[in-house]
Amino acid sequence: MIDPYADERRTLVEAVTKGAGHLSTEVRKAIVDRARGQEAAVPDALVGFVDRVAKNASEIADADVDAVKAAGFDEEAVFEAIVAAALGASLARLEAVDALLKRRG
Amino acid sequence: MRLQAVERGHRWKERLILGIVRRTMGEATDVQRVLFHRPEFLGRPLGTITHHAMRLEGDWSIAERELFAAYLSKQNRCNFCIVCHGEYASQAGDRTLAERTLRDGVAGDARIDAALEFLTAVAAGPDALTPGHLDRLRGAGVRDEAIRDLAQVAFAFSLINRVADALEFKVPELALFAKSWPRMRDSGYRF
Repeated sequence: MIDPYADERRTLVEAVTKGAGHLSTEVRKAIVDRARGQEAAVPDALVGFVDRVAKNASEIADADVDAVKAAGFDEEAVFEAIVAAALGASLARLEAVDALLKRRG
Repeated sequence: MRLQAVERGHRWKERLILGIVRRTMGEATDVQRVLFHRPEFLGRPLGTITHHAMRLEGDWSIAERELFAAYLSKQNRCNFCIVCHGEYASQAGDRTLAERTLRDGVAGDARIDAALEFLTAVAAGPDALTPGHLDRLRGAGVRDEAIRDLAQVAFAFSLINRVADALEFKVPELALFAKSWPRMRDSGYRF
């Protein structure tokens, strides 16, 4: 079955991981991959934060954001980390559905 | 909103758009601030996906899709999106049904209830999704194309729920979403 959303999703992934930003493209891609459940080299100071965004975003507190900023990341970088982690967590779910559809389709 | 750079750091063109939103609607919401912040990074590509999933032709009605967005948001405990899409689901369809479904997690319709069970698994995580979720959807008469559409709604809202919660979006008065519905109904999520 053709996925009518594939091109749009590729555009989003490229915008988040390859577009202009404050975090390097390598770090943004690593955050997406980690949130997707893959091995990836995310900077130590970001690991706990991006895991919370991916797994328990509703429990994030001001102190979590402050800790990342205190580690030297500016607000645009924090924004990019949030979006990259949210994207990875969302892709992981979609990939699981895709695998089920292919298995039965 | 937790990040000032996102709340106030818009470029002139997006500042102008947000100014128009404030004049016509009374206020701009935090989701609009995020989507118009460096729109090429998140807002525009995510808007295209969300519009496709929520508005283009498909087996699910617009009211059902808005209900799915609100229901997944409830599973993710994203207050902004629960209020926003709960109101849109009510505006697009049957308010009593939308409110009852969001409260009880049951709609009394096999297609919708299978979708709600699927969305509960999506919120729990990729490992919670099993062949049984697809079996129940298919058993209720949902085509695979519609399962893909549902999964795309889930994708878009899994993403924006996390952004909304991480940034602590302020939840406006319900009346603002009722007021924005006619534009959202006619123009959708793309910008």
